[in-house]
Amino acid sequence: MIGAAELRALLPLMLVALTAIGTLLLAGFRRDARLAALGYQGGLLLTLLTLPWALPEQPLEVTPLLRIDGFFGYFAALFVLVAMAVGLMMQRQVRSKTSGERVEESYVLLAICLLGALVLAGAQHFAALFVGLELISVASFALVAYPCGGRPSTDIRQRNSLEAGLKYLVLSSVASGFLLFGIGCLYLDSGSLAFAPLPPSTSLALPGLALLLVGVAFKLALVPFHFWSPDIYQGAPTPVAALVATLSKGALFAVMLRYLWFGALQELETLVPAVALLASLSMLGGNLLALRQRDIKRLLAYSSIAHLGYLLLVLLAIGHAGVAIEAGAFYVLAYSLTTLGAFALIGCVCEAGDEPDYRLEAFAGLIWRAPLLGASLMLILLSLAGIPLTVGFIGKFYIVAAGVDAGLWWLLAVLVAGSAIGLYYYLRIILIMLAPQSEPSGIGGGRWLVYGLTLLLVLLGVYPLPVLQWLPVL
Amino acid sequence: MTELPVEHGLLFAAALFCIGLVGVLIRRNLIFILMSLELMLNATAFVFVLGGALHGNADGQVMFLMILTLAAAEIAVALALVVHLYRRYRSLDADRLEAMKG
Repeated sequence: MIGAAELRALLPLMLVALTAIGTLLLAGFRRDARLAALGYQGGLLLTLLTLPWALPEQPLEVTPLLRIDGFFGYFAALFVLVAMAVGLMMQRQVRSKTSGERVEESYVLLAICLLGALVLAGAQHFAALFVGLELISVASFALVAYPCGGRPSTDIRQRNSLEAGLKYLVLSSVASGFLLFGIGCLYLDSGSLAFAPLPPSTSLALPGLALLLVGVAFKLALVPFHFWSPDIYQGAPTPVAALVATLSKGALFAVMLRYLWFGALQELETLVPAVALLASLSMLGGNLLALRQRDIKRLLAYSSIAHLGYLLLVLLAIGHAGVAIEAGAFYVLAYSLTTLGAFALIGCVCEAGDEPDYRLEAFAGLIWRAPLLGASLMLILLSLAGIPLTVGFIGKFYIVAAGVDAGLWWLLAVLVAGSAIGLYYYLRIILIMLAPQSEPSGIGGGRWLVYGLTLLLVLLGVYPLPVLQWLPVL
Repeated sequence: MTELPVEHGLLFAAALFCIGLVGVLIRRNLIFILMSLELMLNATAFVFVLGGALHGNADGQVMFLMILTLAAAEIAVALALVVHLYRRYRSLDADRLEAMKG
């Protein structure tokens, strides 16, 4: 039954949906990129401001599908902020390239992605999981293939983005197939789609969960299901790559946290070796494969594979360690913030010229050309590596704490080894950046976003208390 | 009327799913890859129908409708991309899509 209280709790979702429709209508009546961006950012800001008011004091079940509680509130705020930052990056990309491409619709697609992420943050039912996940996926297929900023038909970048879009579509749909088949098996078993413990003595639970795990691993790009992700990162427009890296993965991770917490804890016990294998392969594989990358976007793709491997440790710790949920929630924040900063910086440095240059050498001498940007890059990389005084360190500290609580010693050893390898290639970029300047090249717009994100990253690394108070406890 | 055992339905769905998966993996024509994807999604939809019939609730049929909707939305986006791609490459061969490596 939906009454006033339920409607109030659903307000964030409705506002984001209205933003999508409103932006679409704006773009339909007047083709003006700035107007569309204004509508999009305005709607999201309104959502963010009304979020504290909309959240109910007690967890509230709105239909069997959604559960609006502190967990939803935390992730909703995070995802709205991420979507706003991606919107700003998109806007900058338009301003710096006067190519005549239409970009108004990209804001509509961004809003739809965000809506999917919010549904996932509140999902307590497989139907909601499915709808949220596919809202994100289908909107991001179109976004990845978006000809953002490229010159039509001649530009190699547009070819790349089309190729990336189609690859993403095929592989993501295969992943959805696995996920759905897994959900179908679980449903066949229990007769219910709600997130709840499965009835005992069932034969289909294990294959169902295994298929579900494969689907999730595909979507989160965990080794050995990671092959698509570097191509997508490289081919997609930079803001969209940031979106795929942060919003889609973060939202799916959030819903997995809730699912494991509500339901399948004891069934997971049988799958622990498989999840542990995925986690350690991702931590090691992601970091090792990143070593030989010459392209900054591909490097970030492999680095994000490794980060998702660290996050998997949280899923394993969830039944044993009290801090697991908080650790996961904080790490998603730290990872999103740092990755957004990295992509904003790529947009600023690598896409300044006519032809984008994503080689690591594009950063040569950055610290001498633009000291503040160079310092930002250094802080972002240190945060990715998890060095103290950055938000990445606090996140990793939380994960290690959860791992120690749960007694996952082997995985912690792998985490340390992976982080050590990671440090090597992050420091290599810093070395390139510190090298004497080779040739002068320009710096694109959008540096304020980079500064802002870096400042936030350091502030939260030094004084994380304000966020820690908001961390959800299920 | 005799009841059909659940295992038969599940085996049918699994076979359909595998045919689709193999199709995605070995077909080189983009249109056929998309058709194989449809096959996979329909196989999963069948599992939900089966579950709905077994447990006598409507959840499975609702999921079936949503999977159909997803398949339609996905194929709409996919065909738009394929049309764009064909204009650029004059070919529907998936092996031509290999500009990015590493």
